[in-house]
Amino acid sequence: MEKRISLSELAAVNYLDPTCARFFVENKDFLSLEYKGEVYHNIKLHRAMPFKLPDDYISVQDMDSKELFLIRSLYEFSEEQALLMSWHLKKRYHTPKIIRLNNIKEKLGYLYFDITTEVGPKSFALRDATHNIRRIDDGKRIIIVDVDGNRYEIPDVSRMSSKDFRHIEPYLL
Amino acid sequence: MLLRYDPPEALKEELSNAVYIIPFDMDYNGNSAEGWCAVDAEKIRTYVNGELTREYPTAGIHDPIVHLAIGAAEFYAEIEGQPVLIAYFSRRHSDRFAELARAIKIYNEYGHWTESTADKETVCPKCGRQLIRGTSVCPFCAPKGSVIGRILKQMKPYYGSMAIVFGGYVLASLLNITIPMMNQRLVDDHLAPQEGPLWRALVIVGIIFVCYISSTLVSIYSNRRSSKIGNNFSNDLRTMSYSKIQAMSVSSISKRTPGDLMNRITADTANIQAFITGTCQTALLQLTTLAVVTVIMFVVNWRLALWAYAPVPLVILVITQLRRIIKLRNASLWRWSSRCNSILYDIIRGIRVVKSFGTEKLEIEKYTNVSKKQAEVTVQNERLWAILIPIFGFIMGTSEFIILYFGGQAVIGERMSLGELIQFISFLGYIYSPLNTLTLLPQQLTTFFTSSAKLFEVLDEIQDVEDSETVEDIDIVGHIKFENVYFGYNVFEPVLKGIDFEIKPGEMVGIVGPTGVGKSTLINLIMRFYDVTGGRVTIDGHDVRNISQQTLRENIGIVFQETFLFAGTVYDNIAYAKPGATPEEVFAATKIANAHEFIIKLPDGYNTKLGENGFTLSGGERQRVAIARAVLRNPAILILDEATAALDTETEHLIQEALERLVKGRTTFAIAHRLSTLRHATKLVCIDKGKVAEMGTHDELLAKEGIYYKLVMAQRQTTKMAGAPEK
Repeated sequence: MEKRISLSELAAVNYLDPTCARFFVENKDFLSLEYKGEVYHNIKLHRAMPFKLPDDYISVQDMDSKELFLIRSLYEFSEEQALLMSWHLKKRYHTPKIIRLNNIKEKLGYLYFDITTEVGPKSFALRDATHNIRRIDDGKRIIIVDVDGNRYEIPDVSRMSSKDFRHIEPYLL
Repeated sequence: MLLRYDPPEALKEELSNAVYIIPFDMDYNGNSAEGWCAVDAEKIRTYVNGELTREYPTAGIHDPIVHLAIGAAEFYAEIEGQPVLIAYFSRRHSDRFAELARAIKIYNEYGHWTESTADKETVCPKCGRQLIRGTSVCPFCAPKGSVIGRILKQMKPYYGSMAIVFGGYVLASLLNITIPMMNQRLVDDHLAPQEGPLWRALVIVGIIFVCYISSTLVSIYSNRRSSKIGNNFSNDLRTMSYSKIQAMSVSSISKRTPGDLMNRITADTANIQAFITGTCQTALLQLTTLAVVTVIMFVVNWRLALWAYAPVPLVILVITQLRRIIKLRNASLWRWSSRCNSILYDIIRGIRVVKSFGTEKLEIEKYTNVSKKQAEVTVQNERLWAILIPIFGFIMGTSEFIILYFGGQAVIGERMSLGELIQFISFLGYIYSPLNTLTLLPQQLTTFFTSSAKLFEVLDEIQDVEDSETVEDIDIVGHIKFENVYFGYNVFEPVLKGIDFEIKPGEMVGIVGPTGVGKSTLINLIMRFYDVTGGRVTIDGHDVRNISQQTLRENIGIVFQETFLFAGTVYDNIAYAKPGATPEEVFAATKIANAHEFIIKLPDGYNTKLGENGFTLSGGERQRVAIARAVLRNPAILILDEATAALDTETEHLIQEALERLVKGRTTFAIAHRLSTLRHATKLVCIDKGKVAEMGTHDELLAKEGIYYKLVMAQRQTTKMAGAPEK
């Protein structure tokens, strides 16, 4: 019987070789990639596993969201390159960390949050707490998604002040 | 949607010429900031925290667009062939920037400033809070009085019955209070002194008995009448909201989830009913009793009455705190049990997958963990109750001790009779029971207001695809024209960009192209499920917006890829398209659809029941029933949206045969991935990235060697690989 071909051989995922790649910024805000003699302008970085492995398996996509390459890990790159990519990922996945939960009001079945984040104060509305207050991994990390799709993060719910925890406790599953 | 805000004082002079001024909320690093984007004929400028940050010439801007990132959004454009980022903001501002992009495009193309066409605001104009998408009511600013006013207005037909119910409750409450008063007379005049004629004592006992009986009868009558009012009123609300949802456009309906709409009809109307029949009647009865009892107690002995009320603040405090804890615990229990149920539902539905992958142990473990957690929360709750209920009872009982102590002293000191003391103790129950109800009232009022406001929101929804006053009922022949049509489900994501083509009466046009390019959107526009954002769609020279929706849909037969059959018989499902159709008409339709042959073989023939607990048809059979349904009206226009995509070759052949008979003499608009389905098309329109990329006959498009050619080649390759003969 013929030897069974491994899945990775069959799949032909286009992993990016970090030794041949150079990311750089064009027009102040746009990320581009130079790879094996080709230049890919205005590319996007998209996390394959944004919650579990935010720094691994990053998809490099063109403006039409077509995947060009897959990065195994940001740690395979030089510090300067990894920082550049992290910066773009941070902007794309804008998820400010919540420092304080000032108030949560329930009105007409929607929740209205008044919070302080690392980037300043925010207030937002939330529909359906069961689905939009998500516990990640071991349940300590919380991601909150508001009605417009903006995201906020509580990195460790067990380290919140008891006052803040009392606000969010009824909505945690 | 507002596109010209008042700028802050510091920028007023600088932005005096600006046509559009809109706010945003972040700097280019994602920090919260006060941002303003201003556009005039010369420039587009952005300011962050009062500083000018970006400036570009308005005329040089090409393709301004809003791009949604995961937790933010960007407004960018092309200037001299290079992309530029104009503003970075939270997604709250994305709709407004999309409107701005549209306005800039119109200015650069036609040279005039336009107003926003999007009527929905994303923020409350009063308080600036975020509005929930798909709703227009800010719960903070909606006046509560208006909700009560509207409920009372809706209840007008029940005013007479409500007055009788209210009178009944007052009467029952007075009868209840009479009982302790009669007890007092019995004790003071006959039992304690053991004197007076026996007949008088018997009369008092008789009055007490009559009071009991009458109070019970009056309560039963009032409760029954009140339930009837509540049920009838809730039925009115359900019917009104259901009718409104039926009248809503596909566009309005798709902004909400089916669950949300169902909740408005079921849960919200049930909450209103529960408030009217439950909370309202209990609160009325108990409040009346409380008021009367309080007056009597203070008249009889005001000092003792004050002692009786002494623990009330403590009781209210305890009840309020308890409610908070209980609400929290119940919410937690509800969430865990809902999680448990959803795992169970999921796994039982997917049991074949679990078995085929041999993951039973994993699933048992997953369910056990959640079930264990639910059990823990339940135990915690029950433990809490076990401790709290006796403590609560003790606090309530303290007033009895106080009354016994001071009242006892008053009886011994002959400042009060024994009967009065017994009457006082009986009245205590009338004080504390309403207190318990009253502390529940705010929460129940909130639920009532929430449900009422949500229901009125649906009832008040303005129709976005509505028949204007000038619509016509025309005899449709089937000449369809798309004239420079633009459309997007979201303002920032145009799906169709300048579509132009026509279908002459009796022609069959095939629409091809990759997935997600807007093929089905064309159908939504012909059917007028949505209105175009630019250009127009005409049928026989009439803009579809000027044809009555009834006429339009009566003349169009549509077959979708996903066939939806209602619970009911096969016959009912086909006759759904034409209520009152004769059996001969139905048989003719099923014969054309190649469905008659299999239906007639079913044990119950056309009376075979479908749906849950009913007969299950195969995919191909369901599709043929759907085709028969579409045919029954003998429509001038036939739309086939991937009608054969989910079927095997054999079944497809049967359906294809049916369709070939069907398309004769009608304008047919067919979308298909399987290009063989379109081999009889007069013309093929190839859509790519929201535009008409190619148009022509099969041979013309093949000769072009463009997108269509590639699709055909790819499909031939697949067919060859599958070993099927080429078509």
